[in-house]
Amino acid sequence: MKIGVVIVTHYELGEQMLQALRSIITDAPEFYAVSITNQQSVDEMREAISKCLDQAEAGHGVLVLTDMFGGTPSNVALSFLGERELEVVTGVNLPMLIKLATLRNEKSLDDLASFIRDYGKRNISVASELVPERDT
Amino acid sequence: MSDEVEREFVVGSPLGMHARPAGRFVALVSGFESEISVGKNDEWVNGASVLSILSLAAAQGTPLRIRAVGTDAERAVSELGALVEADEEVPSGGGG
Repeated sequence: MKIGVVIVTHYELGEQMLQALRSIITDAPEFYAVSITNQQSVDEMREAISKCLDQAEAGHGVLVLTDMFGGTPSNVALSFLGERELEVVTGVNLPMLIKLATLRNEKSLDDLASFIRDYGKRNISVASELVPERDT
Repeated sequence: MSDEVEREFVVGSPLGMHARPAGRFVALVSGFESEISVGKNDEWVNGASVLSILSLAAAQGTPLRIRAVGTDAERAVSELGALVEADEEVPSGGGG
C-alpha cells in the first residue's frame, strides 16, 4: 500500500495492537506505532510522531490512527494537519488494522480515511446478535 | 479453463476458525488465481477477508463449504480444506 500508516495511542496500545496484527497477518506491511505517556512534553510527543510520519511516508500521505478523539495522542497528531499530508482517524480497532493490512485496491488518502472509519464502526458488534445460538 | 469446485470440510481446531487460522486461510487464498468463497449453512462470505471468515463464527466441528472458481480451483479447495480441517496445536498463550 502506498499510503503509510501510523498508530498514535496512550501508552503502548498501538504497539500491542500491531503485535496482535502480525500474529494474524504474518506478512502485514510495516505500520508504525507511537506511544504517548504522561511523562513526555508536547515537543517530545511531536518529535516522536514526526519521526514515525517520516518513516511511514511513501509519497502519498500518511493515515494516522489514534485511540480516542479528544485524547492527547489525537490532539497532538491533529497538530500536524496542514503541515503534512495526513489524515487522522480516531478510535482504532483491530479489524481496521487487519483490513488495512490486507487491502488489495489502492485508494486516495481521503477515501481510505472514510473507508476505514466506516469499516471500524461496522465491525463493532454485540456478539450474541451475530451468534444467536451455539452451534456445538 | 475456469473450473468451479465446491466441497465441505469440518473445522478441526479446538478453538474454531479463530483469527490466526483465518489469517493463514486468507494468505493461502491470495496465492490462488481462483475466487474463493466460504459458506456455513446458507451464509457465504468472501474467502479473501479475515473479518468475513471470522463472522461465520465457525467452532470446532462446524461444516464449512469452500467454493473456488478459477483455473486452480481443485488445488485451492484441497489446500484450503486441509487448513480448515487441521487440528492445530493450541499454544499455551491461548487463541487468536
